[in-house]
Amino acid sequence: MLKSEKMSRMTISGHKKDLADLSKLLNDQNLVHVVEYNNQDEGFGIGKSLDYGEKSSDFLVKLRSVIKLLEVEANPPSYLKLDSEIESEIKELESIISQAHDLKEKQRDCDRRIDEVNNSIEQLEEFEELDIDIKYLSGYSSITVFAGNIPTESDLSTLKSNSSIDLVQSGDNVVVFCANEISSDIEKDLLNVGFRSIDVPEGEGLPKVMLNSLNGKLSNLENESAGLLQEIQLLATRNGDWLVACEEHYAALSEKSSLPLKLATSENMFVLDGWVPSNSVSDLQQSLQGLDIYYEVDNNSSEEPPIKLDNPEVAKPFELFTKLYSTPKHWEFDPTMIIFITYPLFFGLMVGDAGYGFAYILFGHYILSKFSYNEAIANLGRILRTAGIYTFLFGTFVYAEAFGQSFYNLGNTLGFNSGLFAKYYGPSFDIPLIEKAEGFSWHLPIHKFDPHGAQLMLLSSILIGVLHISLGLILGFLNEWKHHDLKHAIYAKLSFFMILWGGLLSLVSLVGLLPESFQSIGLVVMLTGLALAIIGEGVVGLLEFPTIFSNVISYARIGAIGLSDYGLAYTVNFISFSLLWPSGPAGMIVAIFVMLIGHLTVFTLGIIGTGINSLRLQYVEFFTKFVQGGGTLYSPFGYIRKYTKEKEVTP
Amino acid sequence: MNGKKNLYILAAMFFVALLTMPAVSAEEHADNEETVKAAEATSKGYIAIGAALAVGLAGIGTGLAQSNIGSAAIGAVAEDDKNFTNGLIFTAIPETIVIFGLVISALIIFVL
Repeated sequence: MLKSEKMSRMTISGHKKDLADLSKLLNDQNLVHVVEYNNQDEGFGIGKSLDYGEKSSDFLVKLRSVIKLLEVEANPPSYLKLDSEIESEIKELESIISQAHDLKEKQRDCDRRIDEVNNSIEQLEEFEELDIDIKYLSGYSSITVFAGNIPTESDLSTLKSNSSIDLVQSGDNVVVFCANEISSDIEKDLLNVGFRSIDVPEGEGLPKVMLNSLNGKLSNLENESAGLLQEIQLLATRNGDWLVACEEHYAALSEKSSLPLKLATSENMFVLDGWVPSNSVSDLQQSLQGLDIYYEVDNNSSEEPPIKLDNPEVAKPFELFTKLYSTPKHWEFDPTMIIFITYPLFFGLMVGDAGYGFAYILFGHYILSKFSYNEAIANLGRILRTAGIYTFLFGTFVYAEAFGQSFYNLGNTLGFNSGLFAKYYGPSFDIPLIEKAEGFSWHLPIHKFDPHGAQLMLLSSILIGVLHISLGLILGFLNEWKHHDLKHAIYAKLSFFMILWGGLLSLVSLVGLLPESFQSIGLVVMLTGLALAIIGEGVVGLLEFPTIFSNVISYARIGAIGLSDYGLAYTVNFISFSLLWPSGPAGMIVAIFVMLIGHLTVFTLGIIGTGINSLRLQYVEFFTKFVQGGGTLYSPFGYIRKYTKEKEVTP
Repeated sequence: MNGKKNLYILAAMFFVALLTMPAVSAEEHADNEETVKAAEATSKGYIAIGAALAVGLAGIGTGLAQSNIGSAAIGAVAEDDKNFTNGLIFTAIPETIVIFGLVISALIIFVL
């Protein structure tokens, strides 16, 4: 916890002929983080991949292209395929590839023809009203034909009275035939009355008849296209799982064969440089016994080891947030355990609603069960579920609220007023700084609709901020002390700790909660801190001085988002039950609709808005105090199979 | 820029409306109970407007800042997923402004 796992450096060397065995062994053990060789020593070079590597990557490229072509989605693994089965079945790959390419080619061709027919239909529709065979509209040598549309209200009397032309009009379609010599005059006349020329479609027959036949052709083509799509989907479903399993098998083989690419090799020898978790060294040593190689283990290497985060199983999902920020260095604290506590805590405080909390638990659980085979998504589900539990607890015991509705009201309406349904539970307590009205005393639950409750929420958020940032500064202090020295730690971290608490002290005594003498003590502490910061960091220290306070104030969002989420949910309830519900049956239907959409919106905003804001408090306000990051994540050599398994070789 | 012009006109109208609001002074007619009540109501109205301005204008400021940062951040994330966290952090920085506005407006409402 809080620290990454201890790593030991391991160098393995031996004869090249043993590389295949070593690669298989390391792949099975999945323990050694191989440091890639940088090719900088004389006499050594980067090795070549093992003999089966080329064939595997060949298959892999083909498999991936056909998976992409057929748009195969990976399903959760139903049963594990044996690698020997795959290698005997891989012959069928070629036929699947050619089938897929054939079908795709046919589909493309079909789509192209559909486009063509659609274009012709569009052209013909312009002349739909016309009662002339289309073939008469083009192909003359001495006659010019103008075909197009004309606004219905335009005056065609002059053109109609012109005896040297023929004019056919039906609806807004107009076709004018004239001799070539007068065509430019006629064109002018036509343009004057708003004529718009349209390209004449090819073919013969009356437009209406042609349209009918084209529409028939179109529906035939569309049927054909749908059939092809179905065939492609059928091919994908029939072979999808098999393709995914094959892809995994050859990806694993390809990775296994690539070990020499990471090593330093000479003509006959190889040297592997890597890291192993210290507590697994003896296991690895035991399995290396069988090979004819030489290895050395260094438990106190001065080099920077890769980082293997070490957290209890429940906190593991939250490693996602740590890795997303940056992998901590080996001398730094790993913040995962702290995020595990504070992220859902902030989330719960912000939403603080038993109803939504329960919904988040269910939704998180649903994601987890649906995507259990995808580690990243499953982890998001686990995080959401944990956040939901906190939300539910805060909603029940601190805010007494479900879906924006306080439930002590429920107790009043139903005629009992005890336990969870009481207006207040627990003994009364005193909260400084907030003036209370006469006859008012503090109890749980805190009501968000009550101005006192709102003040308490904002104030306690700020207090949480002070504590959270202080924790960050303490961890930062320890980090600096360990990595640099005490002087650095004091200048960089203790200074800001003093600024924060000195400022807080004088502020608290300013509002009268502490004796007046604390005001000057606080001021002295704060100024000493500032002086230390300036000595240590120069002008930057002075510039950073106010940010520590803006960081603290930033935590007010915990209370603020809590209030606005409640406000949204309350408004949804108010609109649907107080405004719409009493107005009759139609109102009731709309009320239910508004309620569903409204609560769904608040639910989603909760995940997006609150989730991001809780994360932001970690990243911007907390992590900046002590995490530098930039470490390399421990990724041991070996492929973890999900869809396939290697046949056990019995000795 | 038509949108900007409209915004300025809207803001000007708002302030004119604010100035022409019937402000009742309690000092001149301290003896009249109704006047005192009206004066209290007026001052409450001003407090509410002040609080709303504090959080609303701060929100606009944050929005202006975030719109640019946000679009740049999305561009960066589209280029490389690793930029997500930095993008999120940069986008979140101006968010503190609106929290300042909120704190000021809470102070206006609760302290005045």
